[in-house]
Amino acid sequence: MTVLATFTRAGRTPSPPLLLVVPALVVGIGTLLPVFYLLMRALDADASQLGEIVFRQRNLFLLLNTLKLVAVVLTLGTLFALPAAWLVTRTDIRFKGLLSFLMALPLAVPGYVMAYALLGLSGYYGFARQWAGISLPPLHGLWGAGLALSLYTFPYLFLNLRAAFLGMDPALEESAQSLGKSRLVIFRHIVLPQLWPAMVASWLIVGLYVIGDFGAIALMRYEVFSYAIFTQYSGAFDRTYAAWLSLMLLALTVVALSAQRAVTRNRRFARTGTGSARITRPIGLGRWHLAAWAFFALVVLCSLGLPLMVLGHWMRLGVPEAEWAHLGRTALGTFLTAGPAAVLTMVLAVPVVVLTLRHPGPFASLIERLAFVGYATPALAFALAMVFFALRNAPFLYQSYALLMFAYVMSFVALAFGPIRLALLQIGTRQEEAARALGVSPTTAFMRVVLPRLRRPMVAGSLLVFIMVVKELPITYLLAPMGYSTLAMNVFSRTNEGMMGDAAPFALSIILFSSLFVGLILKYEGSAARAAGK
Amino acid sequence: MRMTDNILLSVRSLTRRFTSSGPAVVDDLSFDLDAGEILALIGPSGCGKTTTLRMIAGFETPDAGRVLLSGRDLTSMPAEQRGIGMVFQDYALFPHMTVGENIRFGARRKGREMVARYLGMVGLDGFDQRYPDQLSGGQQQRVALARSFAAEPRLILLDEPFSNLDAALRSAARREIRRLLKSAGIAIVFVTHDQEEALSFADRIAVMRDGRILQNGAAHEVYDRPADAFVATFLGRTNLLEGTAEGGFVRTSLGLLPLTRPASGRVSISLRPERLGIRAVEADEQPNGRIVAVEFKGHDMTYWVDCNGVEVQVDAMQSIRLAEGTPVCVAVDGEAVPLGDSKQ
Amino acid sequence: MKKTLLAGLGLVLGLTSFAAAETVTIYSGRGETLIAPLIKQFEAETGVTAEVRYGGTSELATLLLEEGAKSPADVFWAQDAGALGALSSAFADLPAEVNETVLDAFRNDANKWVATSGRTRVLVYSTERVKDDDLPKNIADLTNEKYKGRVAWAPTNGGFQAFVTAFRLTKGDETVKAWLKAMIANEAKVYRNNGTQIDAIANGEVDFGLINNYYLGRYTARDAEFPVGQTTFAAGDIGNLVLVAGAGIVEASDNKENARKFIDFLLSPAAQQFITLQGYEYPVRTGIIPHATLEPLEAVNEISPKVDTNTLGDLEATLNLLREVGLL
Repeated sequence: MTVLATFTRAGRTPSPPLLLVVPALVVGIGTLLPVFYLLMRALDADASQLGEIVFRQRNLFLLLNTLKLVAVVLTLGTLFALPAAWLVTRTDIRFKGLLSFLMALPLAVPGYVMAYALLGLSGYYGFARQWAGISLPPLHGLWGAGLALSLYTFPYLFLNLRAAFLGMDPALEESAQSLGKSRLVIFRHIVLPQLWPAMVASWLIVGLYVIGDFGAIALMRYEVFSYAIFTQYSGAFDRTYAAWLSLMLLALTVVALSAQRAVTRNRRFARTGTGSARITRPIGLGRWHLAAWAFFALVVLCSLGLPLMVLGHWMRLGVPEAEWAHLGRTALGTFLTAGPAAVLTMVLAVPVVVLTLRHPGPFASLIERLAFVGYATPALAFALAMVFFALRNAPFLYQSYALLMFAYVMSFVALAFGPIRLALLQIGTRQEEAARALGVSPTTAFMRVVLPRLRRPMVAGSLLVFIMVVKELPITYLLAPMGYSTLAMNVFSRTNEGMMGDAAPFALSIILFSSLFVGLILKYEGSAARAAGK
Repeated sequence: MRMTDNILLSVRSLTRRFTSSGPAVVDDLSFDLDAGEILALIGPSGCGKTTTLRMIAGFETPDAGRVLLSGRDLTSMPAEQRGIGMVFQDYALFPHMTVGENIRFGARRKGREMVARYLGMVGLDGFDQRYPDQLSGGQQQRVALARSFAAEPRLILLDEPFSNLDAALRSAARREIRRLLKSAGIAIVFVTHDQEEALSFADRIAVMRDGRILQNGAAHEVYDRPADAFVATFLGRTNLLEGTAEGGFVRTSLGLLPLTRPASGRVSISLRPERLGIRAVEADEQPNGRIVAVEFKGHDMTYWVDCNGVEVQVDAMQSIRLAEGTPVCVAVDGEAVPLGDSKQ
Repeated sequence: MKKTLLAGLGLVLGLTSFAAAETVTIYSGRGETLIAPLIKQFEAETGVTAEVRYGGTSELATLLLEEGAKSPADVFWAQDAGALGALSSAFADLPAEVNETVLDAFRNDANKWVATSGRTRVLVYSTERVKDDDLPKNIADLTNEKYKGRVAWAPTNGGFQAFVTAFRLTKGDETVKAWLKAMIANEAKVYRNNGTQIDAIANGEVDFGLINNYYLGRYTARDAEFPVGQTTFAAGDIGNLVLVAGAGIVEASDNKENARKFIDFLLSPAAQQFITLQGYEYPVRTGIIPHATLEPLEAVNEISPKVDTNTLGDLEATLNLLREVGLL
């Protein structure tokens, strides 16, 4: 009997405990609020206007552009992430820790900084012209936007694929090898199918991010569906038709969620064997070493080198005035909000994941889907929903840190599911059952037997949320308490006014501080797979 | 069902389906277990034995039926309140705790001596500071047992307890653990698909197929008098023959044989290979068979003999060595078992 | 007991002093980098503490609409007349004397808001690739074959939309529609805002851009060699339109007195001088030293079309038109 077969059976207790239901309800209600809000706003619509604004051919064209962009980003991102994850887990390449760190670090680069970096490559002040004297054709449109987005979202794919590689039973690959299969065949038929769930899950997260992004895409002059929503809000100050468009986006999200379920049905992450994961003998790269290093050099140069160069360049252009005290205060303020938000996200994410795995059913899957819907809700609409409900039902919360954090948590909680889910699947239910057979209640069993081993994935997941919160803009803009500003807000407002030199130190501190946390993610996330192995 | 005052566990009409319309995985299953008794649930994989075990433990909710421990209905009681221990196939030791911490986890009595006592009981003195991944498979199994003992249950459930041990270790472990359990007076229900394990470890055997118990009885009884062809073949090798019964005898291709119980008309019978004797024909004696294959197994041999068109297996000791093609006399030493219809 | 009393007293005192503290809450669509020194000066002068929420003009406008009667904002300071017009219903009436301090051309007749600075629509161009005789005389010229694929615009930008509104009101929807279509046919390139158009010209992606007047100064102030120049169209052309940034008092405010103090401060000579010099904009009152690099307001007024700034809040028809031609 496999670990997983027991997993689904183990949960057949009559009703899940309150300790799981209450957090799940909080997540469900919190992420449902924006949907309610959008539906309510949508009801104000006038039928004739609807045709002109919502159901028109241009929106279809924009939707198509969005899908094209998603395809490009996922393809490029996978081309960066998959070889990198394979190289650092399966081969004898050296400095695996450092390489993993460098592959994860671009996560910390704000999207519009990445876009500026790519644009800066070719522009008047571009490095190509300034340092080499050549004028490169500007990178615009689908490929420009696709490259920019994939360069800072691929680390998410990388982290997930790396964890999946680490959690995979190497015996399978070895037995395939013993059956006389070539490496390529093994990769296609043994490794890839096992990576598939991790891949699809991270595609979903990245894809939903791409659908909702506006900043980097607008700089790349590519028109997508979020452009229509933004135009409606900001051009027309209209909340009715923007709600319709947002709901269309959410419908797309629901389709994507169902598609994810359909393509990963009956496929699971976990090793099914009972032996411990042995460390496989790494594959010798031989003369391919050079190619591998060239690959890493290229990816690092594009994803980290370019943004750092553009920031350095901005700092050289205009000497920033002494804003160090402001910078320090802002950084501290940013981390003091992002930190608790990340911890809180984890406190809610763990019960939801446990619920979906141990008490599968309509309630659990509804909550899980709602969390993804929350993640995919256009940030502006999400923030407006919070404004609406807070002012009507809890005005004392309006523009408070509590509401800001609540909004962060609800929009990012889905991000934290991945690492916990993987770890829980790898841990299995046996040990919990063994604890209960020894006379310990399910809650105590979970707390004493499972939770200690979830520490690492929990830290990894909350750091991921932390970095996203640090980079977040629309929610922060609308819900921040008076006088509170984040590093990202400072970067955005300065770049928006063309004051690049002033923006650079703020952007640099986002990257530098986040890099510390990326390092921590790897430290915890990498060993989580091993700790859960036995 | 036996009527003893000593009944510890009663399982009554347990039924479980995984899908509402699908077949029952466990189908109206009932049995009793005495205190201190060891029962093996044996059957091919997928017969519902592990599901039965999990329903007794409380990890699976039955769709119908009851589980009683000392007469108390446990059916809707959470696993942790049942006082039933369980040792999993993969032992499920907590990898982040030392051996000592694992044992202390569910212990009724706390304290250092307690850990030492249980470790001593399973022969692992001085192992309390080790982590599970520093132990061999056999050691892990004994820690899992010690951990279960420490919770002082009256009943422990074992799921395929020896399947993760290599063959050399298995027989020793079986004897050792049987001795331990018997001296502690703990009742056991264990699940296995290995007939040798079931026969050597259990006091009583329940043979399962398709969610039902086909036969439940003392190990030797089930082996010697299988209820049907399935039980007969599942517990060791046997010769299944057709014959015509009349009272206490049956006429078969091997001649007229005594029956264990009277029957009449066409019957299937089971004859264990070791119940048959074989010898070369003596001068002008009429052979009743011819050896078609020989398997040399060390201390004994198995002959396949063609007896008037029916092939039978005969186990014989080393003393006689006969070659393929030899005309032989096959004689029956004991009674044939008439079989009931196997349920499909 | 004594302690409790003291603590209670402290609490009361604390509360009293809190309540007595003079504050004003400002939603500013204008950027912090430009505005922060002005806010400090306001606080120093009036003793009123200003709490400012910075953000995009349009996001803040949407936020104000969502907040409605429960808005904590006292003043909304916006970048463009479109947003001010859209929020008219959320503004309290200003006393007529407020608008009387500003120049005729900038006055809001409805007294819903007041202009705080003026700016003009201009043409920016590449000084490397455009000769003086190649400059278009009016916006209609931009639809010529000669400019094919060389012009940038930003249809989502408030300034551009105000320009289209003025264009519509003076020339009629059909003319505007024809012009927009001709521009699209001439492969005008869409950018996100004013600044990105300047970058695009410097980068060699396009040669011309339609933007507001005050952006280029920030580039040339740091780099005299910057290869982008700025010019106007022929006198009277709609491309020379004068626009305003302005502020209004939020109807929901329970602190209109301090809100008024802030508005008055923005119209004060000191603040006007600051906006003029630091923001490269036009003052809305007399007696301010103009920015050295800008054409004097008198000259601008002479060449700009006569359009009432009050009418520029009528966005709806403009957006419909932009949607119809597929720009939004």
